Amino acid sequence: MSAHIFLEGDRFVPGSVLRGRVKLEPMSGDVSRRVELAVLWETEGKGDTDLGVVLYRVLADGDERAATGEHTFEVTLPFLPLSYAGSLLKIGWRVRVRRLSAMALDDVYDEPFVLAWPT
Amino acid sequence: MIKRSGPFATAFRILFAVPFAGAGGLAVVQGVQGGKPSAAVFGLILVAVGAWQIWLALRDRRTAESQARVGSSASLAAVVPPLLLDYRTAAARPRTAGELYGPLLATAPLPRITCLPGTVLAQALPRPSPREGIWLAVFAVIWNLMILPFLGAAVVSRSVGMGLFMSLFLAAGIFLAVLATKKVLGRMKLPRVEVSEEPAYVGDEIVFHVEQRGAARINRLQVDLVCREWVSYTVGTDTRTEQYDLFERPLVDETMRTLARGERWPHQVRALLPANLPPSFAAKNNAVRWLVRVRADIAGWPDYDEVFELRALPKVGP
Repeated sequence: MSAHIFLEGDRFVPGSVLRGRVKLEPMSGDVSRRVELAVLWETEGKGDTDLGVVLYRVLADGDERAATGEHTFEVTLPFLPLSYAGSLLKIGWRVRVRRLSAMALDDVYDEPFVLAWPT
Repeated sequence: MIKRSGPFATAFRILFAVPFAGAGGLAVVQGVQGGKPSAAVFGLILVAVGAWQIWLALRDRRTAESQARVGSSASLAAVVPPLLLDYRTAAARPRTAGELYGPLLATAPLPRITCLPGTVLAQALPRPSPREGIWLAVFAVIWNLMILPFLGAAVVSRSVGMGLFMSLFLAAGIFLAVLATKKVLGRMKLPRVEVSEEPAYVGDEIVFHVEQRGAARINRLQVDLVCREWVSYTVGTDTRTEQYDLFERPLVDETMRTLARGERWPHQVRALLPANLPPSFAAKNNAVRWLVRVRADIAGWPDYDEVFELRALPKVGP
């Protein structure tokens, strides 16, 4: 299964609208698997992961047309948290497409972007 | 990335929980039929524990993204344009961080801080939570209550070995009780910390007012402005925390002052929240905290070393 995420940029200002599209190209046999889209921030680093979701959508759940199609999305990005790379923790923003698997690890496709004020 | 539970882990957790729920159900039935309310109550508790475990197992099978509460982008969208407009068109006075971020403070991943009106500056920072000292005190009391009967039994039976052995545990309990008492007493001497603005903007200069009250003989008083990364993580069944100070600026460092009862020892300092530092952030396991750290070495009284937290938010716009 393959998924391609296209965004209108890789750097966004808080409060702006993030627009993008997801192209799903599943391998045969993967068509019936559930596919989720999320726009989220997630922490990385030494601490356990925290995340916050600003957009969550089920793109496909057994429907062949949805599972092989192209999906557009848009969401207004919040003011906080801003992208951050520190010593113990990082805060990263990403668009995530997850193809769920019943018996194995999910296929996860991330497209990172930066949420920051221009300097 | 947070992994979701696999099918076998989920099945195992459900299989583990089912006997609890089943045995609980049987106990409820037998309790009701046999007229034994205590058995029925016990059964209900078991059923609840089993059901709770099954619910947790099923919940953790879902993806972390679907479990996360989706931030209300609609309400954020409603807030965003006026914020930008207000900031850029405000001719007379730029809006404070509190005014600008007001509606978002309750929902954004930020520390929840409720300031009181200050007596000298705009806001008084809330005193640090006494939770740590209280938990330590409760733990020490329970610990000692558990140890004392065994020690008593050892004394009554004149068992020297057992008595010495239990004395070690009692000594640990007394040590904890002393620590808790020192923590609680130390807090009684905490200064009042006020700021000219809370929340404040990163990159702005704000005024800090720290007021130590007597009676106290202060050997040394230190107040620092700190920006700190804090994380917690699990190792096996342990939860550990780690912190790293990105920035530390001394605000006050004074020595040898005796204060009479009711006497005040104020310090007022203006300090910059450097623009290159991150804004406040608070999630369950990760945080960036802006703190006023107060430390005092007090003669004849337990010292204190506590932090008052404030929120530092990013300036809106380039």
